[in-house]
Parts: sequence; C-alpha cells; structure tokens
Amino acid sequence: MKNLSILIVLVIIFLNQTIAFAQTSTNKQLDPALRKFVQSEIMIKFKDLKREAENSVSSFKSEMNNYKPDQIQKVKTGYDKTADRFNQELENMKMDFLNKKKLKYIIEFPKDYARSLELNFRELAQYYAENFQQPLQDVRQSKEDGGIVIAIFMELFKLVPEVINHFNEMKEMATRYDDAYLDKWLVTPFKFLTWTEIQTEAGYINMNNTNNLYNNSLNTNPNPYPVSPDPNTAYPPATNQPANAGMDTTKTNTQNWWETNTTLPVPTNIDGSAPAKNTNVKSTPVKTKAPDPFAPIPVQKDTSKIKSSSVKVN
Amino acid sequence: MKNGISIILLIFLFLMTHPFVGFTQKREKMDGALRAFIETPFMKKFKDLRLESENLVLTFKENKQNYSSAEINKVKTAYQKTVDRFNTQLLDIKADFMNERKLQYIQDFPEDYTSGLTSDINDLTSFYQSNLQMTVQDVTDATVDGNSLLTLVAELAKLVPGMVTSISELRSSVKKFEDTYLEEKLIMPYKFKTWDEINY
Repeated sequence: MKNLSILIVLVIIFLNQTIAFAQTSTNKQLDPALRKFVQSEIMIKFKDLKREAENSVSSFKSEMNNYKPDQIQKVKTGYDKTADRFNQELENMKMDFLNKKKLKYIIEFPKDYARSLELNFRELAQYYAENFQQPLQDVRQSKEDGGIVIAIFMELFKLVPEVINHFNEMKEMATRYDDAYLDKWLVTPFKFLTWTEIQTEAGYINMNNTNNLYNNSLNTNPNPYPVSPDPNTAYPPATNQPANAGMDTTKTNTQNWWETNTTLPVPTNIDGSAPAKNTNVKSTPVKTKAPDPFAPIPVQKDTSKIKSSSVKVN
Repeated sequence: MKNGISIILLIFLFLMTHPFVGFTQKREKMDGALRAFIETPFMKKFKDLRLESENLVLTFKENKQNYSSAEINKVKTAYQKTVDRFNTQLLDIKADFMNERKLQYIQDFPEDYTSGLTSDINDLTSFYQSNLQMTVQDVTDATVDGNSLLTLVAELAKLVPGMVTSISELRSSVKKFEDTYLEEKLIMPYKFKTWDEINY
C-alpha cells in the first residue's frame, strides 16, 4: 500500500515536470544562435516572399467582385497549394534542427545539404510561378511578370550556403530546442497564411477615390460598429464605411470581421470624408499573432551586479 | 622438434593464405555491390553521355578544315571545360564511395543526397548549354546543334533517385571502397576523354 502511494506520487511528480517543461519550452526566450538565423538574410528573403504572396492574395480579394467563382477558386487553390509547399519547407527545416543525427551530417557534409536546400528552393520558385503566379495573372489578365518575386528567389538561391554556418553555430544549442520552441520562433513567424486567414484590404467608398486597394494602416476593421447597436448611441454618418461593410465579400473567413479585428473607430476628417491615403505605410495581411524574431534583443538586467558606488564597506 | 617445425609451417601457411582469402572475399563483395550500381540507368546514361560527347567532337574534327584555328580552339576550350565538370562529378561520386561516413549519411538521408546530386546535374546541364552547345552552334552555324547531348543530360537528373537507392543498398554489403579499385572500375570506364584523346 505504501509502495503504491509512493508510485502514484512519483507518477504525479513526473507528469507535473513534463507539463512544466512543455510550458516553459514555449516561454523560453529566443536564444542568440537561433535569433541570428531567423534574422539572417535568407530568412528575411523568405519572409519577403511570404509577404509578397499574401499581399497578392489580399489585393485579389479586394477586387474579387469582378471575377467568377471558378476563377476565384482557381487562384485560391493555387495559392493554398503553394503556401502548403512553403510551409512544408519550413517544417522540414524545423525537423532538421530537431534531428541530432541530421545536424551532425549537415556539419560534416555542408555542401550536400546546401545543394539539397538550393534545389528545394528552386523547385519552390517553379511551383510558385506555375501554381499561383500564373493562375493569378490569367484571371486578372494582367501582364505583370512577377519580377519582384523572381528577384527575391534569385537572392534566396545565392544565400543558401550561409544557412550552413548558422547550423554550425546552432549545433550546441540545438540540443535544447524542442518542437514547440521551434514552432514558436522558426515556423509561426514565417509560415504562409492560408487563403482564409488573409484578410482583404479594407477599402472605403470615396466619391473622389475609387481605388479599391486603399491601404489604411490604422484601421482594417470593415465593421467598426457593434453587431447589436445601442439605439441610444449616436454614430457618425456611415459615409466612410468600408466598401464591403455589412457583407463579407470574401465569404471565406470562418470568423466574423469584428471578431478578428481590433475595434478602432473609423478615422474620419471633420467633413466626414475619408482620411488622406497614407502612401508610405502598407498594411500587411497578418492575422495570427506570431512572436517577432526581428525584435531587438531584450536587455536583461543583471541583478547580480551592484554598483560599486552603492556599496559601502565599513 | 619435428612437431614444432610442423606447427610453424602451418602458421606460416595460414598467414600466407589468409590475407588473400580476405582480399578475394572483399573484392568479390565490392564487385557485386559496384556491379549493381554500374547497371543503374543513371550510370548507363552517363556512359551514353560520354560516348555522345566524343561523337560530337569527332564530327567536328572531321570537318575542321572548314574552321579557322581560333574557332577550333574555341570549341576545344568549351569541350574541355565542360567535360572537366562531368569528370569532377564522377570523382565526387568516387570520393563518396570511399567515405564510410558519407555512405552512412546517404543510407540515412537518401532524399538529401538525391536533391544535392540532382542540383549538381542541373548545374551541369546549364553549364553544357551555355558553354559547349552554344559554342558549337555558333561556330558551325548550328550544323551541329548538340541537342542529343542536352537531352541526355536532362534525362540524367531524373535518374538520380534510382542511383541513390542503389548506393544505399550497396552500403549493406560494403562499408567503403578502395581508391585503386574505384579508379579501375568506376573512373576509367566512365571518365570523359580529353579533346586530344578523341581520334579515330
């Protein structure tokens, strides 16, 4: 009986430890080696690609009324397939970090790994062009050649060898990485959003400005008013309601706009017209809250040090 | 005394024969493993490529009276640069066969090695196109187009996965190969000839 109680206590302690470990692994700060990697040129380029793709979707969504459902479906499927491929590459990278044997080999045979990564990126570039860019151009009947994306890919290929140096630097630290930790710092910030996660850019009906691609970094909420309005509350005139207010033209979000956005009031000028277009700031269609690996390294206060002036020795 | 001499003789005989037995066994193992590799479609295609490139040079040499020495030299340099790349690739494969750790790596992560090698072959294709093929077409006014060679290189890339599977399999019977053995069995028969070596 006593033995059984001890056993139960031990099992509880073990489970507690495991849960605590799982929780702390995601709360751990970004270690310097991984930080250097996620801030490396290659990962910046990867993020640029993600932004370009998501922006294309966002812009397309804002003009979706002009297209037939089958055309929309074509672009949607193309994007989702492409995003899946990119995300799979991220997952593969994560798995490489978690596989000690693989890490050893990467350090030992860096050229092989770099070449294999390069091929993967080249295949991604081709996949992107054939499955997303081409259908998008076909549907839009656009003559854009996707020059920006091609340029990013070209730079990405050149940067592949530098990845090996990062693997080398991370060799020591990698033993401490776990799935949740890498998910938080390596996968989530770089993961391509799905079609449904990408919000259309909020457009405003402006008699003087018919540009549907109006960007407003301050407010992306197309329905700033509560669902059940208080009859006693007076609201400003609805002149500047977003173009798609009242109905979700995308019809793809599983959540409502007002559930996914912060409810900032619509910024209006005194005369009720739309605010001036901010051409310098472009909103990025990011919904999921990912940790920012590009944030400066937090300065930790070293409490162990005591100012020499404050120490008095008697 | 007599017994002692007999034992010494037996030991001597054993020592004399044992290394040969070991050597023969090892050689047989290497032969079996390498034969399977050499018979892969990849290596067959590699040999076709070698023969086709020699054929291209021969065709050009046959008509060299039509070209200036500067033009001949241009084609010769382009050929030499291109086959150097192919031979380097072959030497890389040989080096991998001699590296026990590398063979283990190929067995453990065949996809990585496949991607790396495919990437190398793709580079070879581009190199051939922009060097030898372009030069030959320029000099001969496209009388010799070099397209058959291009098709072969492009097909080679598709055959990499089967070749890597073969390497993974041979690892189970042979841990690593010897330099002289590979030089004789892998390099000599598959190495691209130099310009001067190609003659009727």
